[in-house]
Amino acid sequence: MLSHIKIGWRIVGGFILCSLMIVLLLTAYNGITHGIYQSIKRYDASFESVKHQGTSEKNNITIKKNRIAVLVYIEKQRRVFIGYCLAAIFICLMSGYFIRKSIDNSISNLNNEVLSLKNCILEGKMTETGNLDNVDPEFQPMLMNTNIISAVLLSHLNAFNVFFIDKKFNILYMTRALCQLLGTEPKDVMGKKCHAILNSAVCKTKNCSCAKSMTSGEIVRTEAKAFNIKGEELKLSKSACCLKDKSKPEGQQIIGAVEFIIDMTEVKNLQEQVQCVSSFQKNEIKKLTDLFGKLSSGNFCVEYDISEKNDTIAESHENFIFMKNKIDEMIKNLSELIHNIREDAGDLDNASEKLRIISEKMHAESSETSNQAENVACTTEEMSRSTNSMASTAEEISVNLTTVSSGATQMSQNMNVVAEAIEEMVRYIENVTNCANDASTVAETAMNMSKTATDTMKDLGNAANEIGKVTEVIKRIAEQTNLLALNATIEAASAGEAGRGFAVVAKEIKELANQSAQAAEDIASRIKGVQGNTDNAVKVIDNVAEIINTINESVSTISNAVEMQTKASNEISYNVIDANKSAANIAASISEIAKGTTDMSTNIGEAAIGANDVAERIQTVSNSAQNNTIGSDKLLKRSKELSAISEKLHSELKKFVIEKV
Amino acid sequence: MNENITNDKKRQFCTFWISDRLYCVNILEVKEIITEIQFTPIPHAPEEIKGYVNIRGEIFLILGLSKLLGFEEKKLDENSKLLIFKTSVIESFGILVDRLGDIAEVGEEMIEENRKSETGTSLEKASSLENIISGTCKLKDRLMVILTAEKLLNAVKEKLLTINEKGD
Repeated sequence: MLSHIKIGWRIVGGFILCSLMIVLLLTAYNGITHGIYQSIKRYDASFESVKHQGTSEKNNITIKKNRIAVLVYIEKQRRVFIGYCLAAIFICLMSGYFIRKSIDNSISNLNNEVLSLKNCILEGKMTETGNLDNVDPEFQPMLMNTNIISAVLLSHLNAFNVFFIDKKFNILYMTRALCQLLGTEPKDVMGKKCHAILNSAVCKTKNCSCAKSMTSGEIVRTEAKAFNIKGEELKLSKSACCLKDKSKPEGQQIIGAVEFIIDMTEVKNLQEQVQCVSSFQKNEIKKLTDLFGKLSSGNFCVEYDISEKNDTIAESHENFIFMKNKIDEMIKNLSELIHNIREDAGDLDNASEKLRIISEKMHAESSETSNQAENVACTTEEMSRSTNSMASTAEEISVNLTTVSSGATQMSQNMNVVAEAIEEMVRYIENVTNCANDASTVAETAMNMSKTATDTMKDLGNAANEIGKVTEVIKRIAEQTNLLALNATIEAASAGEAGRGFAVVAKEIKELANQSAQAAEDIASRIKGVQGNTDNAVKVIDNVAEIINTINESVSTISNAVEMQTKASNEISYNVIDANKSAANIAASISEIAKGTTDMSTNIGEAAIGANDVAERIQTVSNSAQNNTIGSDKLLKRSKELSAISEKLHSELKKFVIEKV
Repeated sequence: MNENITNDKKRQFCTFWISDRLYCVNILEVKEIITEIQFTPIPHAPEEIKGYVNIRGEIFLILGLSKLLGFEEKKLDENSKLLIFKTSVIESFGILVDRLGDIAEVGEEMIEENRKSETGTSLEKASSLENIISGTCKLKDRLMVILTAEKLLNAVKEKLLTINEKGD
């Protein structure tokens, strides 16, 4: 009831009440003593009157009565006074007690407000303020200041990403900065579960930093990804600390947790970007190394494929794309070249195979020719014997004439077979010539291809040399920069104190120049490596060219052999014509024999001469056939050599893999 | 920046190589270093004087140090540079160096000043090394000889005098 009065006035009121009581007591005391004094005076006056009147029984009784009356009066006044005193003391005590109680009340109200504010802050309810209506006006400024302190602290706290939760993960307070980061409003998150708002990877798991901190009572740091309300990914570093209320008994002190969040998204992203680029480059360089390793071992069936492009590695990716295009072009050129050589080698293979088959056939034909010639020889012998028989028995002639006639007919037939065989042989030989010519042109094409390859390689070498020149220029520029930096240092030294900053810049420039020079050196060494590879490729192509040359030589040897063959077969042809003529002669002779048996005896000698002549001719035919056999043997040998060479070419070409298996 | 402030007692030298030996001059004496080494020869001048160069309209006398220091003279190549001294320090002149070094920062305690020998005739003075070399500096792996522009010029002048005396 006193709460609306200021404490000072309350105390003053108490004092006024006490002094009023004292004044009252003093007045009462004064009245009482005055009364006593009057009574005693009256008593004395009664004594005086007694002295004048003399002592009598009646006077004595009057004195006695007065004395008793005085005593009674005094006693009465004493009691009244004591009563007054007690009442005054009681009123003083009561007023003191009420004043004390009212002051106590005010202070305890203030205490309660401050304590509740403290508890709220301790529990994380940061927005709570003390209620000014609950305290006396005197203490209102104090509480207001306390509120302002907590508000100022809260506004400072709002600059950081912090939130407070209770034991059941309900959000008690979330700072504006964190709300902005998560894309929500502070009023929307109050009282919600923290994992519903933050939604990070560790939420609701045993790795939750808040949960860990609340169980261990220590500060726990974790890193986790989370998503804000727009669904953007955030990388957060979180530090959680439990909130303890030490006034509570042991074991129940933990009442919640506070989590401090640092947004690491951009840092992490940058880190990832850098890692991404470096790993991409490392990967690509490794791929390139493998690729060149395969290329140098002759495997052209490789392709340099670049990993998927994304935004972070766009620049490096472009560079590697450029490199890939160049490498692909190179591989494509080389592959095409080797492919062409291989096709030509296949053609050559086929041609030599054909040549071999033809020469084998030719060999067989010439063997047949030989056999036929032998047959002819046998027949001639028979004819000779028949002629002899004719000489001994003229009678038998007419009988044997039929045999002679048939023998001559057979000879003629055999001659025709020989002629046909030779004609066929000539045709085959023509085929061989054509094939040899084909092989020759194929070999020439292959030579041209290898020349083109060498030229391409030389171009590559020249390009590498030009890059080398560029690195020289870079080196010169670096040297020049170094000199400039030196001069700048000199200028800076001359400038004294003012030039110190400039001197540092000059030093940096010099270091930069040194780095440029080193980089140029690096490029030069790499170019040297490329040049070495190019030289190797040129050597391999030279080897191919040599092999093609060998093939060309073999082909020309075959051509010569075929020419010889043609000559030999022509000779055989002539001889066969001669033999045909002789056979005609024999037929004429036989007809003459048929005309007259009388002339027979004389003509037998002639017939014998004719037969001998035939025998000689047959011998010539036989010789020619043998020559032919030798020629075809040679041809067969050459064609086998050709096969071996084409085989070698194949094995040499197998080193190159240009198509995927 | 901080380093320079703490090393206030250090001195900066511009180093260069003559006949594979390291020399240096105080950086405050140097005007600049240039790469153009085409100079106009002076007829009848001694070997030490290489000729004149024109740098942005200013004429500088160029001295060759090899002969003065007693070494074989090297042919000019791409490493050869001209080191020009400040005109405010001494007369307009520069020196021809075989190869340029770096800027060296050395503490005072590493520098050993040459003892001066003021006595002796002018001929002795010219021939004695003390008049060319003003001090030495002990680096970690080698010795760096400190030259000064003034002494170099004086040495050349002395030598010219002695030649003239002999000629007379």
